[in-house]
Amino acid sequence: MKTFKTRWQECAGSARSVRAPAPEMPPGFAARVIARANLAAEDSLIGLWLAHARRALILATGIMVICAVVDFASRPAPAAIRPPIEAAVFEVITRL
Amino acid sequence: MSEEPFDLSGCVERTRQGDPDAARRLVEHLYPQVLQIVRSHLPHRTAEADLAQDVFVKILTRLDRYQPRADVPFTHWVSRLAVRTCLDALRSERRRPELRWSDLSEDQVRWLDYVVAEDHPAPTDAATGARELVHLLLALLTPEDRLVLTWLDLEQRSVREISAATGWSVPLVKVRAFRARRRLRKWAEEFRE
Repeated sequence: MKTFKTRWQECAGSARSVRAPAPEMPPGFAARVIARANLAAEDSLIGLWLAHARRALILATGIMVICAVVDFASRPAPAAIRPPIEAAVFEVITRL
Repeated sequence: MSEEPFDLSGCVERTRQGDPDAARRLVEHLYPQVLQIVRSHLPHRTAEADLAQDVFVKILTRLDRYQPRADVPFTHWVSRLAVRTCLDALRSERRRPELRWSDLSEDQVRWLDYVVAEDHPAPTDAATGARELVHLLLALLTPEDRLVLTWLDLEQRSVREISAATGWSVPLVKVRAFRARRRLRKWAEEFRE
């Protein structure tokens, strides 16, 4: 009794007997490939620069944001926003 | 007068140095090898020449990365690059083609019946139907499975050849082949029901 694998391989064997057309390079194929390869080499240098420039910009922005946050957090609150009345009331209540 | 044998390593070296004639000759020499790989792993909606061009552009732009080694001759390096490019193209296909009963020809149905069921006779005069059915079924598999079964069952390459051309280990190739045939059987049986 034949297994699936055997029958499948028989089918593939029959498929193999149908010859595919011989590979023939289309006219101008090599010239197009070489032209694309030369363009790709130029693009890769520009791409390299852009990739690094983008990362440097993101990093610089992040550092700037962190510095701004740290700076803001470390400043004492201005006198105008300190609640003197509320603080006094709180002190009176706690002493009672 | 016999033709001089093609000096592949010399041509590669001259291409690296920027010789356009050498680059052209290299493309011409490698074209049959690359096209065979591309034809076996062509995505549904991609033209053969376009994918072959992509492969050759990669070969030429990455030529400086090739280091001659005894265990990886240049043709194997080319094969691996072509295979990876084809697999990437297959993976980027959003949906694999669907197999519909109404799309099958009489010869394809006869072969499908034989492959799935034990009691059907083998068609003896429908080779084209067999070829078309094989390609339809292989197109249902993942790119890696399709590659393994195409090379193993359709092109009768050895496991070692496939391992050398893809960089996969021999056990991995065998496991992939086993799982791929199992999936193929399951789908073919479900489809026929």
